[in-house]
Amino acid sequence: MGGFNITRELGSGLGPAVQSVVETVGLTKQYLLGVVPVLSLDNVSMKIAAGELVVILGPSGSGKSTLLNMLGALDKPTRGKVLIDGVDVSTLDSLEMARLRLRKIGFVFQFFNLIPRLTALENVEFPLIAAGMGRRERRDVALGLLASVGLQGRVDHRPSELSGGEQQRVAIARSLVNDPKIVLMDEPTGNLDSKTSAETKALVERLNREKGQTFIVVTHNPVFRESADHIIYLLDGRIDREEFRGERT
Amino acid sequence: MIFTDALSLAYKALRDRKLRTILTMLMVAIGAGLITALNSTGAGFSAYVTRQLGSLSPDIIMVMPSSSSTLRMTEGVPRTIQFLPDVYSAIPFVQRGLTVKSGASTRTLTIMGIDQAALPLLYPNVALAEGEYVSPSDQSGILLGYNVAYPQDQVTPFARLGQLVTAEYVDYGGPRPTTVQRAVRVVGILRYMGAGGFINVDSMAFVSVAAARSGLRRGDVFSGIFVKPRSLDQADAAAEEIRGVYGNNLTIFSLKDIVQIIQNVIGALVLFIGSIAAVSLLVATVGILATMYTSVTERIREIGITKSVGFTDRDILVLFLSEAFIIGAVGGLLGLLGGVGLSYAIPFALNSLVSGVAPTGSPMGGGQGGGFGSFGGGGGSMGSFSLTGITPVFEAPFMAEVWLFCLSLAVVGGLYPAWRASRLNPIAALRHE
Repeated sequence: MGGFNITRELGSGLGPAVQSVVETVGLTKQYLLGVVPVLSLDNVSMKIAAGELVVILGPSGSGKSTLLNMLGALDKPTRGKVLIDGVDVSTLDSLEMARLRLRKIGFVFQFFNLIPRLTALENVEFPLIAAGMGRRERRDVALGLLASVGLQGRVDHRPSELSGGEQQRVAIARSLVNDPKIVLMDEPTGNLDSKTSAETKALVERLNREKGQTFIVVTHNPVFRESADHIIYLLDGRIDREEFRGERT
Repeated sequence: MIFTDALSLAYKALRDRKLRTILTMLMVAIGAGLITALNSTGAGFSAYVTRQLGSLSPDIIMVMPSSSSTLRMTEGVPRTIQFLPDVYSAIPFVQRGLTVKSGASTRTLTIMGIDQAALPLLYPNVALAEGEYVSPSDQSGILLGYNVAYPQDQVTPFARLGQLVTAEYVDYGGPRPTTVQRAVRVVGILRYMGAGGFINVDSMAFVSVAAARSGLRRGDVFSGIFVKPRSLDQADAAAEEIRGVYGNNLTIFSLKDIVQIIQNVIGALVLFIGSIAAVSLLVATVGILATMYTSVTERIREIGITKSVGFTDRDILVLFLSEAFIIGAVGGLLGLLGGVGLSYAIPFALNSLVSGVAPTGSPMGGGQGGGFGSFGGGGGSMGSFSLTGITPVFEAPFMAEVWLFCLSLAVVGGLYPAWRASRLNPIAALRHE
């Protein structure tokens, strides 16, 4: 369905001087809770540079998930802009948003969100079906990614036959299969024990280093804080403070 | 997304809910099977009726004295009918059922006294296999139908050309029933006509009118008259003219009308069962809708995942429509196969139904010729009425239409659930438990 044309269609609106792959300008999101308007994000402006490992921290209700949905082109802001690789999400229709997700974004969820009847291999291949990639090529890409997350021996297992850590590694492989600009992770270790959490964190760190992709992780888990390049603290829908750890890049 | 990938994903999703999928397919199959069976049996029955009447010229009108009438059907009646404007020829005949003995074997059949020069008018394809026709003046010659001379269930012929056979019947006309016996010589054997049914030439025997009158003790009274109109189109007019002269004294059977009546009955039956089948397909559509809707509500989270990884609304629509498509395609195919099987079973079912009601094995042709039922070759012809002779006729274009109809019904049934799925909000869907 022409998903691969998205680079040309949506282009890179940023000049070479601008390094940020994700940028929000005055991002505001308001929900209606019944009839009461609730401000979930309030005038959030930030820039995330390409290749950063970003950790977003904040208590429940601080707007973390809403922010992640905006950055993942799953939702549109009430006011303000979200620029993903130079493209303003607020100007896109639902088809263009789907293509943006297909081309530039990978998701990893707390509850893994694999499709239960598909094998690990089929789950990783899944986004490439939307891209219209051929069967053989799809398989090669997916097998390569499963190997890189250490699951080469488990490719034909269904999610129910895999441990939580293994399922999350399948999900991570899936999020990378379209070679996205940014990978969004929503509490990736929220359902894992501490040992598996540490392994998952190490994997994310390694992938970030090897592939140079931007990882944005929403988490409570302090292990991610150590390896982050950039930490954003959210509170009541606003950026409370930001930390940069320049020495890693 | 490539369509084959959509089909493959849809197949995996259906396999995941095997029982429900199969049950929904069955709903489609039942409707499709009924329609297929009905159409092929109807077409087969039409072909069967046409075949049954095949040997008798379709324009023939049969005239008999009606049971309530005191009219004596003597020489004057055919002569009067002969001169009616739309009548080409009136061919009187005398007939009765009797037993023929040849050596040790016996056969029950209908014997008919008729001017044999007129036989080609009645049976356009009639021809001799051996010997010759019985001349009008011949008092002792008999012409046998092919199956009489060469019974299908026997290896040796029943009678050969030139052989003497004995015709025997019980005459109830006198003060006491008496058994009448006459020796007759086989002068000819007809070619096999191959079409049984109402007047089965193959299982009959023919003598001259004169021989029938004396031998069958009928005096100068005929059993009935075959009337040949000037053309098929004039058959109704001819029947009307006869009715105009004789009113209710004669019973008139037009072969054309009989065919029409049978076709009407079949038509009504097909329409009736056809509407049931159509309703069952409608129900199947609702079934697909229910199944697909349930499937969508069960997979809301999965739809959210599918959207989050970059599938478009249209992709989701195509994925769910593909599932409905497969249900329709496979269900329709199963229905066609089942319908073919059913088509072969229906004639047997109908036959046991009919033979349970109809009187069987009664010797026919007693008295004044009886009604229409007195035609046929005695006991032998009852068998050829068997409905098991119906062979279903399968029309490939019709079956293709049924299949396409199943597909479109499935897609119609799947449309709303698929549309609902495609319009789900990805965030809400992902959060769905």
